[in-house]
Amino acid sequence: MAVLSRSLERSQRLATVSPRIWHVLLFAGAAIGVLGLLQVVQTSDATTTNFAIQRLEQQKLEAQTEVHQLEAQVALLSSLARVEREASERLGLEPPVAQQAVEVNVAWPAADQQRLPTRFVPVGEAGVEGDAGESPWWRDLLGLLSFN
Amino acid sequence: MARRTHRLNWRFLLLVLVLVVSTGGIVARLVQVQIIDHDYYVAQAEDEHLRRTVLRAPRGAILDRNGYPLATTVDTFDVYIDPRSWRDDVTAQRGAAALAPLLGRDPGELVEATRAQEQGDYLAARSVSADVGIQLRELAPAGVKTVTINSRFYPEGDLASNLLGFIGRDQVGLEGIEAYFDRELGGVPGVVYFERDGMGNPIPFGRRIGDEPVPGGDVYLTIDRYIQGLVEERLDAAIEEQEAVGGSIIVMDPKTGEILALASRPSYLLSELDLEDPNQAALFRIRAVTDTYPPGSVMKIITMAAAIDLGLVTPETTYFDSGVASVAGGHQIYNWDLSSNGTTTVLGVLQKSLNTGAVWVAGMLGADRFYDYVQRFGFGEPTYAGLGGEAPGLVRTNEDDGWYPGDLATNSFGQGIAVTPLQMITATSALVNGGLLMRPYIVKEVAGSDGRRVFEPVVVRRAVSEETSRTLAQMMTDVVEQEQRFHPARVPGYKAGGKTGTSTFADSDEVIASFVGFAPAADPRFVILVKIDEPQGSRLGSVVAAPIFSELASRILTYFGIQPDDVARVEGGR
Repeated sequence: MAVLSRSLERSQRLATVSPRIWHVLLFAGAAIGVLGLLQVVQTSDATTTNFAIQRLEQQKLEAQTEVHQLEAQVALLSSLARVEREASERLGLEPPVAQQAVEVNVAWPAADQQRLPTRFVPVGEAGVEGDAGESPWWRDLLGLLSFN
Repeated sequence: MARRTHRLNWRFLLLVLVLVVSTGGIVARLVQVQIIDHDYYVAQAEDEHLRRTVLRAPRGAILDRNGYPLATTVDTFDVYIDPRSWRDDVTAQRGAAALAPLLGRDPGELVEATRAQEQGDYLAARSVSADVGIQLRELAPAGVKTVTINSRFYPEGDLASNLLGFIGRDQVGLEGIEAYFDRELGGVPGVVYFERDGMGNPIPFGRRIGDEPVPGGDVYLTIDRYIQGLVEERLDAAIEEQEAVGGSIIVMDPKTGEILALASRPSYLLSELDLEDPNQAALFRIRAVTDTYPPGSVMKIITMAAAIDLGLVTPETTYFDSGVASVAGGHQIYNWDLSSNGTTTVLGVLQKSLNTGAVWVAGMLGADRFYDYVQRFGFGEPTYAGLGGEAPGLVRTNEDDGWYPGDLATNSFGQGIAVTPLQMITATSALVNGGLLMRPYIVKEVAGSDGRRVFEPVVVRRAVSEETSRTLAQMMTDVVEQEQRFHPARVPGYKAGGKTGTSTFADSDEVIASFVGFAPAADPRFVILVKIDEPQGSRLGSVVAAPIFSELASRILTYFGIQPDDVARVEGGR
């Protein structure tokens, strides 16, 4: 009888302990699952970000290509051939056939000191403050374009 | 029992020994791999995991003195096809259908050519435009790769082709400014290492080390595109009119040595450049600095300058021109027109370009003093203008072997001596700028990522005194502006100075007609040298070259906004 009650006691104790172990095991399993899921999410997020980076790098390269194209366009707009074409076709100018110089009794400024309208003068010379010396050539050139 | 123990011990010891030796071997190998050869294996591993990519630096622009671009960089694309990707018929046909219209090729031929490629990728097109390249990248047909290439773009077309030069497929300058200033223009390419997967693609968030490329600097030339255009147009026209084989025109600022324009023919056009044509190689050199010629009568201004600087003569000093001068060795020298002019002034020697007068002056100078002045004006040494392949010229002095006393006489009027057009215009500039020999230069400024580097004028030496310079400038003005006859170098409305030259060769009928002049006479803003090689019409510098000077000077003076000397006066105003 005593043996029987001891076994019963042990099985009752087991019955009270085992739910706790199952809880722990369940919790551990869930934790592992969550961690695994996090890992998957993180990896997929990294992959997605990587693709985004690659795409942005591609866009940057395309933008650089476009910048170079625009620089070439600015250069072409300021070319002598285009200036001549604009002068003759749009403004109706013609090369001078004869020159006549007339001197009036007003002091003639030295050629070097004659001031051009600001829009014809390179940015640095026009007295515009800022990084004129560091500006790229095409920005200076934009200021020189008179047919914008 | 004792025997068994002994046998056991022996076997045990053998086992221990084997283990010790084996372990020792393993440890030794580990030491070798992990310590001794550590660097080698690390490099091997890195090589396996890391991919090296060279990022090309964008090449800088070449601009004229006012900031107008003469050469810039645009992106173009080389198109490659991976033949393995096109083994499958469906993929190949889809790819070819997308690619062929953009490249202007037949789809079937494209597939065939790709599959015929045995090794590596097939180069389907070279240097396609940016528009096509971007479209291709967006379409992304299977197996098609685009590689960005920097190509040169010339907004002014073929202007200054010879001077600008060109670059090779590897983006390295091969000729002209592109080659001489390749370090400044080229920038520093970047080298990037990144971790790659088995397919060679970058690993997300893998290591990425290296340096980004540093863009090339922009090179500002001393050239003025408008003047360069004028000069090239006029030189080409003159060569055609005169049926000449070539020629050179240089325009220089005498006060600074800045080259405002430089053109040489024969040359090449950038739009027609073919590096595979061996015949074009001879056109690459800039003949105005690499080729020499006997300057002819232009040299008389140097002879006169030496004598005036030493106080031996003045413009009014006279001598008797019998029409012939006898020189050492029994040779006789005549005037170019076989004239004899009787009593003539030193100024008259220049105005009439008398050989006998130059020989008379050189006789007074003597060889030592004459060649001293020749060297003072920079003849016989390169000008170091920054252009490659520059010739020093050929000056044989009385200290050299093979020199004859008769050489002094012929050298005094520009025969038996060889100079480059650049040397001649530099020497003339020294004559009219107050006597200072300036170093000619072609690059004004380099603007790079590390700031701007400005090139300043450099005085090489004083060639003659200021007084002599003024006297020579006036004498040269009197050559052009003489009242007795019209000189073809005259510039309407302005006073200009100059001297003609006609060079002949002892062993052929060839002739070189030249003129060097400056304007305005009172305060020279530029010097122009015109040289036409082997004209088939007239052979005289005054007929062939002087009118070109007149036309160019007139247009450049107007362009510079310089007030004419002959102006109508209007009273009134403020």
